[in-house]
Amino acid sequence: MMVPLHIVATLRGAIADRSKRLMLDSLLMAAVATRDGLDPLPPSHRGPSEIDIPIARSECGRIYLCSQGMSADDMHALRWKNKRFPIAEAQQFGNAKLKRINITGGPCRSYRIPLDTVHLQEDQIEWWAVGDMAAVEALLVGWVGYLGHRRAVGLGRVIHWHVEECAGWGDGFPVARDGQPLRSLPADWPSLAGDEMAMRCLLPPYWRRAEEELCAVPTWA
Amino acid sequence: MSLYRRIRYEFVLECFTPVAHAAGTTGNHSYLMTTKVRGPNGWEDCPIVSADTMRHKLREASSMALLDAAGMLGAGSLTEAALRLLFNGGMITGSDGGAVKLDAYRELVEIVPALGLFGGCAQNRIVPGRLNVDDALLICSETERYCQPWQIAEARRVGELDTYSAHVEEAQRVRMDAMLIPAMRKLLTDGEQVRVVGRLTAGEKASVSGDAVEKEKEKSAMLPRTFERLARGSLLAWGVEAVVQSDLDEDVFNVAVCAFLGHAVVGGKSGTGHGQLRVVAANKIAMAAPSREHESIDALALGVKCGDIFRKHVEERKDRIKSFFADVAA
Repeated sequence: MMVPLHIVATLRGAIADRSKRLMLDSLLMAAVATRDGLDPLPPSHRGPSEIDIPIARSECGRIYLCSQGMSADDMHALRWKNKRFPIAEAQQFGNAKLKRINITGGPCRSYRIPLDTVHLQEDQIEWWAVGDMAAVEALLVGWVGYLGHRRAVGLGRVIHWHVEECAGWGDGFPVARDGQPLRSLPADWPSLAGDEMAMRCLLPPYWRRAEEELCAVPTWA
Repeated sequence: MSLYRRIRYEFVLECFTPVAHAAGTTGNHSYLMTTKVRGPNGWEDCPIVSADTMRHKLREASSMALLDAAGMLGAGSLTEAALRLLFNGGMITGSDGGAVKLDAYRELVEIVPALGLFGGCAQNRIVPGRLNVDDALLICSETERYCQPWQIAEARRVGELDTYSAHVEEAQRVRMDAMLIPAMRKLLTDGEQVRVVGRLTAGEKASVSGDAVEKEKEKSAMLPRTFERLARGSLLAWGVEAVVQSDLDEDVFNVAVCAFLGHAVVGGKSGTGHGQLRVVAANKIAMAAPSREHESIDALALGVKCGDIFRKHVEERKDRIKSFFADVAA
């Protein structure tokens, strides 16, 4: 049964700054893909994903009824991604042809790339949605342990998921509040007061830059 | 019911020897890697062993286990690309640059299943791994709320939680200049002895006369330096989880964890006895169940029990693995 939902993820520490506005629908699709062992979509993929998730679609069918992740920054911290060619192992296991390694250029080049991370207020991100509470909770708790970029090295670690039924706020729930969009919405979406517009996708996967369209977006986007 | 399982191990690790995991240096002083933590008195920079280090060490340990099982340790038969793939996860070499093809990547995952867990690069795209690793966070009063209750209870068995600064000590070491030792100077050739003694005399004269430029020019190569380190006996909270697809996958995950923790050395100065970690306690958690049931495990016994499926799998494909690593481009 589709009901209004309030979802809160409590993090253990920082999350990559660029990942704090994650879309709930894409997160749930990733959870389903992980659960079912689906291959990642190829870069040449066109069109929205066909993965079935327990979130209601809008009447027009153009969007899922869920918000972007909402949070407030508390403290930023810079960290680094380092890569060094395994020189000690090369000396030990390298074959006769391996005589010279160039670590200042080419495929063996060492690098150190900065990454902005952010600690969120209360360490929390929240979403609003209309969906099947039990199914959403099972997917999030069972299959989503980390959020966003660089999660393989501990960023965005979720220590608690809280999914509850809520009353909603009436007009616009859960994608707009007081006329302000809480996610990318079609430009002709009714009762919008904001004038922020940008090129975005309306359905996951959201990285399809070639298929973006003009959308009403939240002021933080 | 999904065929996939999400498994998480959580540990309390003890610094069996001091850990010098540095973030950088200022002058002759190196300082510890830290992370911002919202403590009871505001933001603090608490020491960690970074997740990047822990994940790399897992990858390294699992690659060593593979080479061992395939009889390739010390064989001297790996190419530069194979080394990069095993110890760095490969790299994107461009769609027409002789890269790993997607079908080759699938073959690779079949014959070297650890790379399916850790991820790698195929053709001109990144194939994500299924292994997520946390920072190993110092257990102290500032980080109490970020550790599991059982990890805190384990730490309290040793004593009350202290502040992070109580765990950080500063050590000083000196690289001696052999030229300052008369017995060593006698080993020099005659000409070198004259040159070195002349330099030392010039340095002493410059020191007496207060000639800073000359003193700098003739200074000895003795290098005193200081560094921060986590004190012996400090406890770290660490977690690692993976999505596994089969019993083989789970076994590979266990082999990686056990091979690493069986002889875990992290950070710098390992040549002088730094960085050894040992497991104090461990828990296995089946994450697909919302109740997050904990199953206490004996991490050292885990090392004995696991690995049979992995070793059998590698043994059966030994020749294919060798020929794959001879040709792979990554």
